[in-house]
Amino acid sequence: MEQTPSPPILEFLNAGIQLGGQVIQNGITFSLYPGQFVAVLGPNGAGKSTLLKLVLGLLKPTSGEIRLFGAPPRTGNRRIGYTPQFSSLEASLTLRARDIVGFGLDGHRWGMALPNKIRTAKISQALEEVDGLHLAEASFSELSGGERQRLLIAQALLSDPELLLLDEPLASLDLSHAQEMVALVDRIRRTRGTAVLFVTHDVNPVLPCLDKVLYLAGGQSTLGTVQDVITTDNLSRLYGSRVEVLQSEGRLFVLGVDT
Amino acid sequence: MMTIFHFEFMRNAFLAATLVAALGGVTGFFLIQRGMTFAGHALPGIGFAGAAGAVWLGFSPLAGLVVFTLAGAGGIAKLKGDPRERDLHIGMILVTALALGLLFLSLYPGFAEPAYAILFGSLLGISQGETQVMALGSLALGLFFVFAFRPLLFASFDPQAAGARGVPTRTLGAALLVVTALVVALCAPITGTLLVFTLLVAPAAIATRLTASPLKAVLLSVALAEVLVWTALTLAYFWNSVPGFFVAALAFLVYLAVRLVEAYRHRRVK
Repeated sequence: MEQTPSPPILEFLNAGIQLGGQVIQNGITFSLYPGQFVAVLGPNGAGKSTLLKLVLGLLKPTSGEIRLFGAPPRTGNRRIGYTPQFSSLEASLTLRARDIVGFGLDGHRWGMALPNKIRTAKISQALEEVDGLHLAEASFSELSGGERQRLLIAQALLSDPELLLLDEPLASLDLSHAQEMVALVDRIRRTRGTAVLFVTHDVNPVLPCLDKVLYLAGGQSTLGTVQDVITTDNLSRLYGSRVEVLQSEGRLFVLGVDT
Repeated sequence: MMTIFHFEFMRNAFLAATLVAALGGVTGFFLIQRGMTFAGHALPGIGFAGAAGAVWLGFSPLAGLVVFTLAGAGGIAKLKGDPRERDLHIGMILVTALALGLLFLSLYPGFAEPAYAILFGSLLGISQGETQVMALGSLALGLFFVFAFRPLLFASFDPQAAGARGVPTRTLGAALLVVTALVVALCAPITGTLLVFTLLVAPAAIATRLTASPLKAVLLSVALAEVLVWTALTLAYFWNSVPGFFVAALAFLVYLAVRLVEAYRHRRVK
C-alpha cells in the first residue's frame, strides 16, 4: 500500500525506552498512518510490549517524544483498542464471553452493567465481527486460546478505535489458527480502516498483509518493508552479531538468534 | 417452629446473621475473582491478635480488631510479586499475628474473656443496638460493591487493559482489602474470627462453580450464604449447639456435593 497523504496517527520521535531501570531502546523513530498494518518484531526483552504501553500512556518515554493523534499519549483514550499478552490475564474468573467483550464498552465506568437492549446489541455485533457470536454465553475459562483472543479483539473494537494495539495475539496458537487470526485482523483493518500495531515473534503468519515491519533489537530499531528490514545485513547490524536470513517457499527464517 | 422467633435474642441473631451472610457472600465473590481468598483467611486471624492486644492493654477488643485488620489490609495491599509469593508473605504475616495474639493472651492476668468472645463470636448474644450498627455498616459496604462492581471485575480480569482505559487498578485492589477488613471487623464479634472466613469463602466458591455470569454468581452466593446461616441457626436452636459449626459443616457438604456432581457430569461427557 502506498503511503496516504493524511497525517500520521502515531509518531515516535527519537523516543527512548527504559525497563526495570535499564535502557532497552535509546531512540525509536517511526510514523504510523491510518489503515496501516505494521508488525513489531524483535527478540524477548527488546521492548515490544513496552512500546505498546508507551502508546497507551501507561509509561512515559525516557527521552524524545511520542505523538498520538497529534498529542502526547494518555490513559483512557478510546481512539485506541488494546489486547494485552495472554499471560497477564486472569482466565479463571467467573465471566462469560459477553462480559469480557462488554468491558470494552463500559468496563471503566462505575456501577453495575444492568441488562439493556442497546448494550446487548452492541456486544453481539462486536462478537459477530470476530465470528464469535455463538460463544456469547460461554464461560471464558472454558474457551480455547484462539477463541479467547478473538473475544479480546472484539472487546478492543467496542470503542470504535482508529488504532489497534495487539500484543502477541498469535502466542499459544498453532499455525492454522494463527493464520485465521491474522486474516481476521486484516479483515477488520480493511473494513474499518483501523491501523494495526501487531507484536509478534514470528513474522511469517503476518507476511500476507504487512505494510511495514518495525524491528527492535540490540537497543536499536528500523522501520521499513519486509524486503528492506529483514535482511542478513540489516539484522546483523541491529543485533551487532552475525545473523542469517533465509527464504524458503515464501517463508522467512532468521538464524543465529533467539527470536 | 415459630417458637424460634419468640425470643428477642433469636430475632436479633437471625437479623444479624442475615446481614453477615449477605456481606460475606458478596465480599467472597470479589476475593475469589482477585485471587485474594487467602487474604480473606488471614485478616480475621490478624484481627484476633489485635483484639487480644486491646484486651491486654485495657481497651475495647473491637478497637484492636479494627486497627489490626486495617493495618493487615494495608500491608497485604502493599505486597507485590506473583500470587504464590504474595500468599507466602500473607502466611508469614498471619503466623506472626497469631503468635502476637498468643503472647497477648498469656500476658493478660487471668482469663481474657472478651478476646475469646471475638475468637468464637456470640451470635446468640447480640443486642438490638449492635444489630442496628450491623445494618448501617452492611449498607455502606454494600454500596461500595455496587459502585465498584464493573471496574473491579475489569481490573481483576485484565489489569493492563483496565489501566489503559483509566481504571485505577491498584487503588481498587487496595480498596477491596480495606473493605474486606471492615467486613471482618463487623462480622467477627458475631460469627467469631474463626468462622468469618467460612462465609467469606464457601458460598462464593460454590456459586462460582454453578454459573459463569458474575451478577448471577453474586446473587447466588448471597442466597447460599443466607440458606446456610438460617439452617445453621435453626439446627443450633433445636439441638442447643453452636451455630458456627453447622455453618462450616453444611458449607463443606454443599461444596463437596457440587464438586462430585461436576466430576460425574464431566466423566459422562467424556
